[in-house]
Amino acid sequence: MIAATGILIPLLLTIIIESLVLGLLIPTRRAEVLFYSVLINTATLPPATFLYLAFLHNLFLVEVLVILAETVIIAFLFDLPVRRSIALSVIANTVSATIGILIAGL
Amino acid sequence: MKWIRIIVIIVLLALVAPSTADVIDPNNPGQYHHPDYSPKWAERCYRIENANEYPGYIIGVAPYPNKSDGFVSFDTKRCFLSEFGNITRYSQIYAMRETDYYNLKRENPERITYRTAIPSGYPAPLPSKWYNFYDYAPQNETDVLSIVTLDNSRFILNTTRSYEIFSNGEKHELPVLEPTLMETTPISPIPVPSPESGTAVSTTVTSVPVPGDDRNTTDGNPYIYQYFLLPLLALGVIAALLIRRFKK
Repeated sequence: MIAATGILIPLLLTIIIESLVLGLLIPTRRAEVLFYSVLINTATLPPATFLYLAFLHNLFLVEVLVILAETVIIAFLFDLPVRRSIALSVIANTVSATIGILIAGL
Repeated sequence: MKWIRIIVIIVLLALVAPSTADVIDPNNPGQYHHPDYSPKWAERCYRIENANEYPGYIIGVAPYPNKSDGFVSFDTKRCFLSEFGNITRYSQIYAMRETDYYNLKRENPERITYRTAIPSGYPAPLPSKWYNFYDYAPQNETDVLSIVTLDNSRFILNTTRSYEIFSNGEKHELPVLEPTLMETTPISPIPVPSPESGTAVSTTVTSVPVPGDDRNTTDGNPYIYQYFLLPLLALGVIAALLIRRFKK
């Protein structure tokens, strides 16, 4: 039921998926990963959804914008080099987007 | 520099990639996403007051030549339309009673959904068309209201069954009525011909505010909160964390 769930269930799923992925990729900082995943996805997923529904209608482009935004946040929050941040962002978002598409379709 | 080049290439590829809406097979209507499938303002909005059986209905007209039905969000206060979900048939007109809208908003503040469908073979000559409106409650697929457009400013409203079920399961009895001709006044910037005299039945007309400069305010817009307030909060926390770290 779309009306009841709104954006909260997709957000929760994305946080869980990306926390797991980032937790596997940064195994030494799992507590931080969970906390930062909540912040990062809460900051990026709702505006990205709105952007997709209202303006862009291009999932690939929206995902690229999300990856770029999350790269910056990951680099600052985890204090990681840009290259590693890009890799983490690309992997986490590819996994979550793929699962999202499989669950809900485009 | 290598990474910057890669990012630039990815962004360029994304820009030239076909729209998601276009790559879905339009021959499979269950999966078809129309590019107009997004929140938008109705081009014309009508309020019908004191109109015998249907006082307070707001009718929004959105010119979607290839639109179809789906879960429609219709903010009667601001005449704001949006659709989510699968599209299966065409639709152009949206209507809801203001009282229903506010009741639903209380029940379900995230989004107001309303399902519509379209002309299904009624032998009405153009420009008259039938639009069947369905209950917003997903469990109920029965007609609540039918509308015939006579021209740009006149509608006939008619119920086709005797009850409706709200999303909370509550059943509400509705009178089965004969079609009633309504005379309305357009409130949009689009000029609409005046209704012919002597055709309306016991109606008075008032206009509702035209969506305009206040579009970005949060008043009456259920989208602002979930799409922007939460992210702003998260960004605030991130900024605070970073500021604290840089101060150390």
